[in-house]
Amino acid sequence: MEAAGVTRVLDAETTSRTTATHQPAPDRHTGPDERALLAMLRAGDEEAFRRLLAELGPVMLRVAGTYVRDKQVAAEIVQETWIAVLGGLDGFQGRSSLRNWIFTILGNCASRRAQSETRSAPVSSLQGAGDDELNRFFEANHPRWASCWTTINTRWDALPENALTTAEAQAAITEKLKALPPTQCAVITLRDLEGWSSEEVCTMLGLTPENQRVLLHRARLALRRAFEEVLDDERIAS
Amino acid sequence: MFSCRQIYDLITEYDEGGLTESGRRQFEQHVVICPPCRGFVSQMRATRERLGQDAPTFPVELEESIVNAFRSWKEKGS
Ligand SMILES: [Zn+2]
Repeated sequence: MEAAGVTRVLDAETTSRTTATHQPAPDRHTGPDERALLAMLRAGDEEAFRRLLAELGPVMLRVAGTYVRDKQVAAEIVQETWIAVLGGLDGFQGRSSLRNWIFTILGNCASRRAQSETRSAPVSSLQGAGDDELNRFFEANHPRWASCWTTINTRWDALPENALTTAEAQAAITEKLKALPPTQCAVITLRDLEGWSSEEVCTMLGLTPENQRVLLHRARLALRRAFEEVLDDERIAS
Repeated sequence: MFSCRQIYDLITEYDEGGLTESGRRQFEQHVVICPPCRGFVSQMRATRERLGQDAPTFPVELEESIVNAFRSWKEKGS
């Protein structure tokens, strides 16, 4: 019965809509509290459902996209998740927050699909930045330049405005996010793309603050490096 | 005084407000006199800002399909 809805979204990828402004999910702070929201959803309030979907949908799609490479499969995961959410809504006990529960279901659906999908890239090559940048520093026992940069690191605040918004830069973001280990990708997606606070991310993903920070650090380093490669390519080309 | 390597390792902790008062001061004292670290710090900031501009997209068909699932769930329940 739900299968019809799932196949319908397979064609959805060609036309995607951009939300008007980039705002971190406003309902989390200003909307009705959880209990009121739950009551509205159970009563079949479509407006309340649409608001929740607008808040969580885009980030769910991004998180699903970190488990599977195929965009359409990611869309199916989101669809399946909401169907499972609806199926469990009346029995939901409220032991965790509603949003946390939804993301747990998303994680379960996504892992199941990720196992059945053959990954085209070997997992061993998907490590984040960090260790591979050690050659950017002189050895710690170097007589003069101990632990100093071996690179110049030009400033990017003076770049032309569009330098990081080229199609190449956009593709680099997409590719690098996909190549990150899933939790790193989820953390940087929520923090830097969606603008969530570290507390919210820790709650959502069940991480300690230290863990969250380390994952964020590695992911940001990896993205910085991706941009650096794009800019270097442009410099060579010009 | 921190080394460049430590600036690299600690920048997110600095940004997140995780360093102690003295750690924060040492971080800033290093960056202010070290051009490569100033470059690196500006690169990390530009990276974050660029990621924040990446507009989320959600296919409208997917949204409608999920809302339809909500409608049939509602009909079934009432
Ligand atoms: Zn330095």
